[in-house]
Amino acid sequence: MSLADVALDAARSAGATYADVRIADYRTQGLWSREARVESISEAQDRGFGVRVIADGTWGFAASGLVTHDEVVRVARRAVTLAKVNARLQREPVVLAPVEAQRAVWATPIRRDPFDVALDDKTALLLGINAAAMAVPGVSFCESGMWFVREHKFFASTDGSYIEQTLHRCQPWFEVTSIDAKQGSFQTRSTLAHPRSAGYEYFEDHPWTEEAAQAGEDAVAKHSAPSVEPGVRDLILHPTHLWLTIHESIGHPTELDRAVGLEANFAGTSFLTVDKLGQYEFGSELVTAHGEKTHPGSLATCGFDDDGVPTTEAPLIERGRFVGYQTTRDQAAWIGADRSTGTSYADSWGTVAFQRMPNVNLLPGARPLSLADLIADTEDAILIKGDGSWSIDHQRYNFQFGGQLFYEVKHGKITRMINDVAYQARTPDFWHACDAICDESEYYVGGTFSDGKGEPGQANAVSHGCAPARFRGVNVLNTKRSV
Amino acid sequence: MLSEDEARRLTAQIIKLSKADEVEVSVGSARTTNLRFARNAPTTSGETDRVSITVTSRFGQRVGDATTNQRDAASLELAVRAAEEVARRAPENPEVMPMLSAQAYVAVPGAFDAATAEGGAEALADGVAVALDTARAAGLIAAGYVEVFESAVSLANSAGLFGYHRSTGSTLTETFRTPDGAGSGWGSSAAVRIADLDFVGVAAAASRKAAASQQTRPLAPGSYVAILEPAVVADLVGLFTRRLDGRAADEGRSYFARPGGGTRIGEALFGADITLRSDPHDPIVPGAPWGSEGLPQTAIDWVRDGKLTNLRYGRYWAAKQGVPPVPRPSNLLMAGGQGTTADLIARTERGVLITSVWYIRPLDPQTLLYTGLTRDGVFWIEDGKVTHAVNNFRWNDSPIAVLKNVTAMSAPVHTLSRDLGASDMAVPALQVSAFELSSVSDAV
Repeated sequence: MSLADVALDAARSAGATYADVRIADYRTQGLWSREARVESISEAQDRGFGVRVIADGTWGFAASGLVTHDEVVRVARRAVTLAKVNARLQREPVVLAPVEAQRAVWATPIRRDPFDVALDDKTALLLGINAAAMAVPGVSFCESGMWFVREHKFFASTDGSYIEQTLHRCQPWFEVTSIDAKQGSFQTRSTLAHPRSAGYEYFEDHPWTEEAAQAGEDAVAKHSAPSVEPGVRDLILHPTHLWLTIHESIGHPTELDRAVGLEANFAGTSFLTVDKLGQYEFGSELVTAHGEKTHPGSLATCGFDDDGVPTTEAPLIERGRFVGYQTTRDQAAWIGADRSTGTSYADSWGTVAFQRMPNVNLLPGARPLSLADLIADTEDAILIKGDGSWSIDHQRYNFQFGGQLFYEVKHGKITRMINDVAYQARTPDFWHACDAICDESEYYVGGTFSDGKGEPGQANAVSHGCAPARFRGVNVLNTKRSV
Repeated sequence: MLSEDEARRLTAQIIKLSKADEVEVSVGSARTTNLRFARNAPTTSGETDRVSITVTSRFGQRVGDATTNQRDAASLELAVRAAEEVARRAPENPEVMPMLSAQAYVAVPGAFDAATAEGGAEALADGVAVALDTARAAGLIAAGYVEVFESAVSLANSAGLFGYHRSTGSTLTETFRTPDGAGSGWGSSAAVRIADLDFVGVAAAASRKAAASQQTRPLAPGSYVAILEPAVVADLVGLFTRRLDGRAADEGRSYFARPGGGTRIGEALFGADITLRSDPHDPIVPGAPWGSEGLPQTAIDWVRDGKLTNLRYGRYWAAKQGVPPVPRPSNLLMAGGQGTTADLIARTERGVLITSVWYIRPLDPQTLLYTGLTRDGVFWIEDGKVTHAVNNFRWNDSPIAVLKNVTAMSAPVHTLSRDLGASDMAVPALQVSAFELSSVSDAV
């Protein structure tokens, strides 16, 4: 009998009406450098298992890094004990939406396993990035890093599923700093590239040294860029920036656990309450957004979620209207759905699976429109590239975003770099102000390793694709202060 | 959780396996038990046992590290060989320092409570029952999270260093909302001993704030006199202290850099009543005996009587600058005044009471300007009394400005910072002459 079956049997014998087990090992590698030296190289392996059960209508979970027969039995029984202890506080039993038993193996398609690449190649790339930036007159510092994750997990459940998955994710990063000693000021510019679900080919294909040199030029140029005049302005948001606005203002409000109050104590609730489903006009007719865990290269992509549900693509916003939530098996019934949309995830063998954001993408415009066309069609606006500061309230109404690079657009042309820009808006007002989205040729996928939610806090890796888009009449702030 | 004897045996076993010039082993083991609830019922619960063993190998100026969570002999051997392989292939780093020899680490017995370590899921369920009963009785909807942990950390190296420290801790947060979503209140508690976790007080605070916040009157954005409850102060002061990095200041990329070169150490940044310090022996918020790079934690002032007195320095940069190394602190203690938040409210003619803040992100590292939001309880104060609830706000302000604007302080209390999630601080509530509320948030 496999250890997975041992866990399921032990849980059932102890009184569980449902149980699943994830036996997983995570391999990570991180390299960090600054200027001409490599600061650290770290390898890590983390192996263990978690057993999740429903007993007396209540969830229980226990986990251990010691993967042995006896420990599996102990932990499975402990999960049932926790469920039963807490069942006395329960009001309604947990109900799971059905799923067919799955027997499958799935792996992220990669061309080159990053753990097979020599450290020499990786350190040479990082030091090359730093050297390219440092060669720009006026650049003072450059830090760079790369991070690789391989998540290998085996899921089994009392519904009869046995699923093995191997997921790869990698993250590049650098930041250039320019000091103006006379003014006592400094400016930074980080990479505009984002993490992906990919192998080392991502690091081989991207023009890192060219981007680092450009970043150096940009950081130096920021010193003399005029400070923005605050007020109501039109914005053109580049996809290297817009992905994060989508994450915060579309991705999170359409999480069903938030909408019904499960995150009320931590991440917050949502202004997209259940009564608005299918009714609420979220944005302009141009705005269509889908949740999916199926697009190659995107960070949340996998074959099956951590409920054992096959992953899918489902609409969240359709031509401006709010039409869908992200759900898991224990949530689907709350909105009358007979199936989960497959968005359950746990970030470790030691953490419990719950609803996490899939890749949420803003669909590109249907009519041909390049970024150059959009700029040419714009009289007076600010073009923002790269992600900077981000903050949004606990119901996802009031947000404020900064960026990496800001350009003034006047009479159809980019006229100059400006600085100290942030914009603040109310989510539905902002998406109603969207009056142009570029076509598929400008589509780009950004993302993050560190989408946070839950208690204890868990990190979710997620991507967001979009094309450049224009927003009319947004409140722009100047972030320069003296204290 | 590893005992000191087990930690000694394990680290010695790993050091014996090493073929490197020097080797260091860091071992952590912990059991965490938690219970989460929402909609007046439990949602998830969990108990996780974790071990983490990090081996750092050094050949000359080349260093590498490898981490495993497995304690069997084969896994330990693999981790040691992996760290050595990384170190051999790492480029030489001129900033690598020889490993520390034996240090005199202070013992912090007050950081551990045996009863807390032995407590379990039943104690958490009993505490949550208090929250659920309180919420139901008041016609409110409760959500929250309670966690208890026991932890042991150990540090050893081939130069003779050894340290062992065990601790326990517990945290509780609760949010109560009115069924119509018009009111919301939050409360929190943190303690070394679960017996000190204030289940009754937190439920009462969340209940009171939820009920009081449901009929808000609009208040326009602007600069207001404000009373900041300790949870707010912990977030703001926590951000300030995280930036106290000596090297960044020396390099000119920090608020603490002096224009033209050097740091602002010695400069009066705030009024004479502002003092921030760390002390691992603090009886309420005990710290760990060592910090980054294995440096011993000692009592240290960061700001004394308004003047910046210290910055953190790693061992290499400290040696280069000719200053003592200073590790990242394991707690933060802000001096205060007398009384409670209620006493500050009674002394306020007109102003805003902010009970918690959320989603804080940097806007300008040069001035430590941050943005964030108020959450779960904002009230108007008139003639020393809270008169009504007001809408939530986005704020754009700097902890530097906040500390410059302090006009009165309560006595400090052990506080859980909501946004940073840190429970290692004791801070007062503050009355400040100006806090910048920049736009209205519709969120409740």
